[in-house]
Order: sequence, then C-alpha cells, then structure tokens
Amino acid sequence: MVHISKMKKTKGLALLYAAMMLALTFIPAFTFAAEATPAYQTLDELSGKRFAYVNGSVYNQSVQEKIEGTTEEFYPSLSECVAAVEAGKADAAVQLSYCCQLAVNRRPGTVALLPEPVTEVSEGFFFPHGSKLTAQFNDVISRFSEDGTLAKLEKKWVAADESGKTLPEQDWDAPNGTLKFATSGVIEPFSYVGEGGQPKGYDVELGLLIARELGYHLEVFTIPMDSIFASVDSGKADFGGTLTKTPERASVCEFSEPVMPTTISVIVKSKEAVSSGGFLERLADSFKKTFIVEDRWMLILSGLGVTVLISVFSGAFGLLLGYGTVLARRSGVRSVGKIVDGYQALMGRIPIVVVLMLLYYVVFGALDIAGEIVAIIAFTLAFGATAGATMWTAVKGIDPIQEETGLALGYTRRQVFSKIIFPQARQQFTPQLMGQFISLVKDTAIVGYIAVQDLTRAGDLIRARTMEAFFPLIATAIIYFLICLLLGRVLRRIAERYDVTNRPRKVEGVVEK
Amino acid sequence: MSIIEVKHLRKEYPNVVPLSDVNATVDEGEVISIIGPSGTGKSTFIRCLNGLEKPTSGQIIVDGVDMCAPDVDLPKMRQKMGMVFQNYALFNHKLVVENLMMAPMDLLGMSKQDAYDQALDLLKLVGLKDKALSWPHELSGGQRQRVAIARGLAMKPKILLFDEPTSALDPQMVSEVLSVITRLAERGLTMLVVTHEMRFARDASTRVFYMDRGELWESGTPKQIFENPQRRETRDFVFRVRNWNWVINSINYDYAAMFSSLQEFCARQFIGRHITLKCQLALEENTSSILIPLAQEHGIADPHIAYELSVGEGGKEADLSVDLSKFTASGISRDMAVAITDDISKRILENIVQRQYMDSSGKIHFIIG
Repeated sequence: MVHISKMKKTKGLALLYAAMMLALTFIPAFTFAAEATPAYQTLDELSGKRFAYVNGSVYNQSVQEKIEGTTEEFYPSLSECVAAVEAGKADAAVQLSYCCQLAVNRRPGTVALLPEPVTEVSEGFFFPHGSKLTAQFNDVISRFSEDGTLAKLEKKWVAADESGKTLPEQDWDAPNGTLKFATSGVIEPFSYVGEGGQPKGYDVELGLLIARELGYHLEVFTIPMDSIFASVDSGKADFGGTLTKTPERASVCEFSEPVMPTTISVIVKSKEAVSSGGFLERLADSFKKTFIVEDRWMLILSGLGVTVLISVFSGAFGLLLGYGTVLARRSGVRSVGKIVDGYQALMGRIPIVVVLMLLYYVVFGALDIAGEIVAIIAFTLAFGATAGATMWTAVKGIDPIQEETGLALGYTRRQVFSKIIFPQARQQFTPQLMGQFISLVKDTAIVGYIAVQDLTRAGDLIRARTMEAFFPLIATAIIYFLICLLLGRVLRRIAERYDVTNRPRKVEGVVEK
Repeated sequence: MSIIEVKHLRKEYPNVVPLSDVNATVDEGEVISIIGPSGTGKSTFIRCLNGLEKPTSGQIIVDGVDMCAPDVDLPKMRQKMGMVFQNYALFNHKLVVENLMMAPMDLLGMSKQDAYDQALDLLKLVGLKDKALSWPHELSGGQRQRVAIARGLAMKPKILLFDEPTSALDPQMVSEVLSVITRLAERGLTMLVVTHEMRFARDASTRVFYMDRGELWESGTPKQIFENPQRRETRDFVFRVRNWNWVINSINYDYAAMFSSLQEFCARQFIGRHITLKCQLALEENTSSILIPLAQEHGIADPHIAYELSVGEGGKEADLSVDLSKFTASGISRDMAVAITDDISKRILENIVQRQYMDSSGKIHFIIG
C-alpha cells in the first residue's frame, strides 16, 4: 500500500520543483549546533510535570511508576510531542531512547535528552490470538539473538551513517505466501518512512529477515499507532510491531519474545536556546528536509493523488447515492422513506472518522479490501447523505403546482420529476452541493486512520522524520487551500455552464419561418 | 353530443365533503362558466375531471372514456384536456417559447421545428410573440397566464379547463387574460372556467353552472342565471357579486383595506377607471373629512358607517349609498344629515374642479383635471 505509483507530473509541478532546487543551490549548507544542556537533570525534578506521549504508547505506566504526580497528554507521533515540549505545552516527551536521541539531533538547541533513562523496556511483534506465527517468530528471534543478527541490526539502524540503512530485496522464494505487516512508520529508527515513501527501519528489516527464514514475502504498510492493534485484531494485518508488551495488550494479541531490550528516555527543553544559524538558513534547511531529502515531495504528491482520488470518486458516487435517496423518497413508499431517514440520521449523527473505522475494522474487517476503497465507500455514504438531503430540500421547495401543471399536460409522474421538478431544483441546490463537496475534500484528511496515505498522512510521516512541524504543516495547508480553491473555481465554471439563466436566449436547431 | 358526463360525483376528505353529489353534462364546443361562493367545491370539481383528484364515488366520462376506471391511461386522457391554474406555474428553467414546445415534443412526438412554429403561432394568438425568448420571470402576471393558456393549447386539447385563471392577477391584468379566453371561446374549443368574473360569465359563456355547498344548484344560459335565477341561493349570490359592502366600525378604521377592496370590486365589475376614481373620491371625502370628525365630535366610538356600492348596467353608473342610522340615533337630525350631504357634494366638487373663473360673457368655467 505504500508503493508510490509513477504519477504523471504536471508541467506546473515540475517547474515548481525546478525552482526549489535552484533556490537551494544558493543557500549555504547547514551546520549542526553544539548539543544544548537539558533544563532538568534528574527524573525526580520532573515530578508533577506534564508528559507528552505518542498515541497508543504505554510508557506513561512506566513513567508514573518512577515519577510522582505526572499528567499525560497524547500526540500522534514523537514529532508532535517534541513540538509540544518546544512550545511549552508539555514539559517532557517520552519515547524509546534511540528515537529520543534522533529527535534531539534533529532539533538542535531547542530540546535535550535527560541523561538518566526512565526504565528498560522490551519490544516485540504481536499476532492475533492463536496465530501459528508466534511460535515460528520466537524460534527465529532466539536464533537471531544467539548468532548476533539482532545486535548487527541494532548497530546498523542506530548508526549516524544513513547510507547503510537499506533493506534487503525480497528476492527469495516464498512458498508460504505473503504476510501483511502493520507498523507505525513514525518511530525512527525502528519504523519510519524513507525514500520513495517506503517503510524501513529496524523493525521492518527484522520482519523481512524473519519472513525469509519462514518462507514468506512481506507486505509492509504503515498505520497510526492507535490503530495498529485494531488492524491486527481484525485480521487486516498478520502481525504488527514492534511495541512494548503489557498485560492489557497481551489480552488482545499474542506477543513474540522481545526483539531488542532497550530503554525509554525523556526529552525536555534545553536550558537556553542555542542559536543554530540564521533564520533564512534554518528555513532553507527545514524546507530541504521536508521536501528534498529522500525526494519527500514525492510522498506529498502521491498523498495528494490519493486525496484527489478519494474525493473525486466519493463525490461522484455520493451524488448518485444522494439522487437515489431522492428518488426513493419520491417513490412514496413509506418503508423506503423510513430507510432513507434512518440512513441520513445515522450519517448525520456519527462522526465520519468513526464511520470510517467501523467500516474498515468491523464491517469489512474480515475482507481483504484496500483502505482507499473503504475510504471511498465511507465518504460516498457521508456525501450521499448530505447531498441527498440538500437535493430533497430543493425538490420539496419547488411549488407543488409545477408538478400538477406537468401532470395536467399529460406527463407521467416520473417524467414530471426528471423534466420539470429536478431541473428547477438543480438550480437551487447546485451552489450548496459545491460547498459540501469542498468540505468533503477537507474531511478526507482523516483517512490515515485506516492506513491510507493521503496528503495529511504524508505530512505526518514527513514530520515524524524531520521532527519539525512548520513546513510539513504549512505545505499541507497550502496544498489543501489551493486544491479547494481550484476545485471551487472549476465547479463554479461547471455550475455556470448548467445555469439556465446564463444560457443565450435562443432555441437551437430551429429556423424562423 | 356530450363530451363530458358527470354522474353522482362525490369527493370527501376526512373532515370535509367538497362535492356531495354533482351531475352534469357538457356538450362539445360549450363554454361553461362555473360560479359560486368560495370554497364550495368548484375547483375540486374541475380537478376531478382530469384526475388530479380521485373521486370518492360517482362516474366521470370524458370523450367516451371512464376516468375512474382502474386501467384508465390518465396521462393520455390529460393530453386531451388542457388545464390552466390560478398560479400559471410556467416552467422557470425554460424560455417562454420552450414552455410551449416541451410537452408537444415529449408527449406528442412533434419535431422541434414543428413545435417551435406552433409555439410561435400560439404566442401570437395570445399576443405575446415578442416575448418568445424571454424568461418566465421577466413577464407580468397577466402575460404569464396568457403563456400558460398557450402552453395548454400546444397539446391540441379537445377540452380546456380553467381553475380561477384570473384570481391571482392584479385587477388591471384581468381583462387581458379574459379577452384571450373569450377569443378561444369563439374558436369552438370546449371550455370549463371556474371564475369570479361575472362579466366574463355573462358575456363569454354559453352556459353557467352555479355551484354551492358541494352541489350543482342551477345551470342555464347566462341570461337565465343572471336575470332570472330560479333558486334563492343563486339569486342571493348574483346580487351579492354585483354589490360592494363595507362597514366602518371604528374611528380608527383600516383605510387601505377599504380602498383595495373597492378597487378590486370595481375592476371585477369592469367599472371604468374614471368611475372607480370618482367612487374612491366620494368615499374618501365622505369618510375622512366629514363622517369620522362628526363621530368624534359626538363621541360615537362605533359609528357603524355602512357603505354599499351597486353597479348599473354596463358599469356606466355607480350608486354609492351610506347608512347613517347610528348617527341619527345619536341625536343628529335629518336636516343636519341633508346639510352634511350638501357639504359632501361641495367638497367633492372642490376636489374635482381644479380652478374656476368667469369669462367676459359671464359664463362660469370649471376646469376639471
């Protein structure tokens, strides 16, 4: 699901990219500043402070055992936790020590690592209950532990040298088929999104190596932390990982043996902000990290493609569905009207994000169905409900005498609707529907919850790497704004075309006698 | 030969029975005006004829086809019967000419060119050929209603039904629509017109139906109905529609309502603009300059000024009378009342006469404007 299809670059985008590259050649290379000293030195100093955790993380339990009276806040990924610390919204962010170290390196001068780790943890893969994979994985893990493979992997993925961090090609035979592996994609160096949007990291490579030993191929997809267990539990993935085993988690999924004993650490604000280059330099560096490094703009572009795809299909199918509800209501059959009522009431009262997850994990839980398709179904249902209600209101608003006039001329009820009522109603509801469709485009930003990599999720993944909020968020915002603006223009054009009051006053295809 | 035959037609709703038992026959080429008080089933009757309302019981046979038969092809039958509603209801998403082209093309399979040519002919008939390429909303109410009539004609119906075609129109637009309907009557089309326009009923129809309380009380030639009605209800109604009544019960009376009611009545009776204005003037002077101040002077809170306006033949003369019994009861003598009337005449004259002078030969000139 994470492969990037070769997207047709439009001329405009290519030009934009060229301009960016040109600008960057004139900006001096960025240098890292010296490491800053943390604002706190010991864990005890942090008692009563506000801690930021990644959604779905259980480190809050370990922290609360060690430090008194802490409060907790949850964020989608470590980058948001770090941003919260920088902004003073939280006092400390907690994550695996390796990740913390990376984050601190990426945000030089603003945050620092507390020297003392919180506690030791061990992370493992997890499987649905009763999966035969658990035992097979454990066998391989203990073998890898003994022959030094795990140690080698650890060394490779925590190294400062990025060039060696590549994954093996899946060129082995897979007599047992393909396994689906759900990973967060936001915990560098364990699981993150690298060049071309491919998931990589310690967990991913280990998963690949184990799959090779067991005669499988691996299909890796990223999914928000708080949805990983749902995706494994519902069978969307054969296994997930790696995460810390807790009794509660163990009751949902079976955990493998720990794959790497490690520690968790705390990121705090550094004592004094250390300047790291001028504003322009930092901006340029940030821009480069967000878009240029590892061709991350491709990730945004492909995310944009997914957003557009979901919007366009949901919009088109939603219109049809909405029209269907109008016809159903007009049928005059009581039960049919009640069904439409129920459907519209349901969609109007359940948040679309919940509908989306219900469809993905419950309704289609057992089916192997692409997240994009589930997203299109969910947004079709949502848009169909609002569009249908809007159309119906407009249809009801047409003077009933119009219908009687049509009937009196000798039209059937159906003809009256299609030739007289609906064309007039369309004049009324078109502007409203356009607004609703643009809302739909914005609403699709939540599809990340079901492992669909849309524009918003692409920004999330990039932020997880750069540990910066500014450019990925700004870029996402600008792209949404532009696309909605453009869509608005295009739709208005189309609407004007179909607006009968704009058409010329003449009858085509006749000659004056 | 009768083209419409109605037997024991009954229509009931949960709370009301608009039609209790209606029997009627209409011959081909007849022009029937259906008159009667409001809310007495006239519209329901006409809507039953083309199946817009389903009769509760009874029989309607149109052109030999039983409209109430379960297998009747209603759309087909309705094509034979055009209908013009009170609220014209032009199709707002189509040009005027297209309003006339749609149904013939969709339902009669007429070619676009033929439909267009026919539409222009019909628009010419109703005097609106120059509006062919207008949008419906650009027309006045009267023009819209004329287009609606032409649209009904475009289906080449045998029968044309009108449901109060002028009730929603401003008084000054009524005549333009009625003259179109009158012209159609001369062309031999069978027409049933529910109307409050008594002049039209009397002058343009071949027969008049008087409907009241869900029944057809009397039918006959206009002469019979208007000059020699057989039943008391008909007589009362015919008298009532020829007279305008208004009672002022308070010193703070609704001036605007009184005048619009008067104007409406005058327009319906085809009383000319000139006489209408004069009636209005007499009413105004009489009320606001004399009677109301007088009532205030004598402390009469409810003056009960009862006006009645009746119209002479042809709308050439109007008789405005006022009942002042309340005043005389409050001690205003008959002589005083006569003096008041003189006063009224003088004031009205003052208002009508712009200026006056005596010329060299001793003649007095009144300049009336």
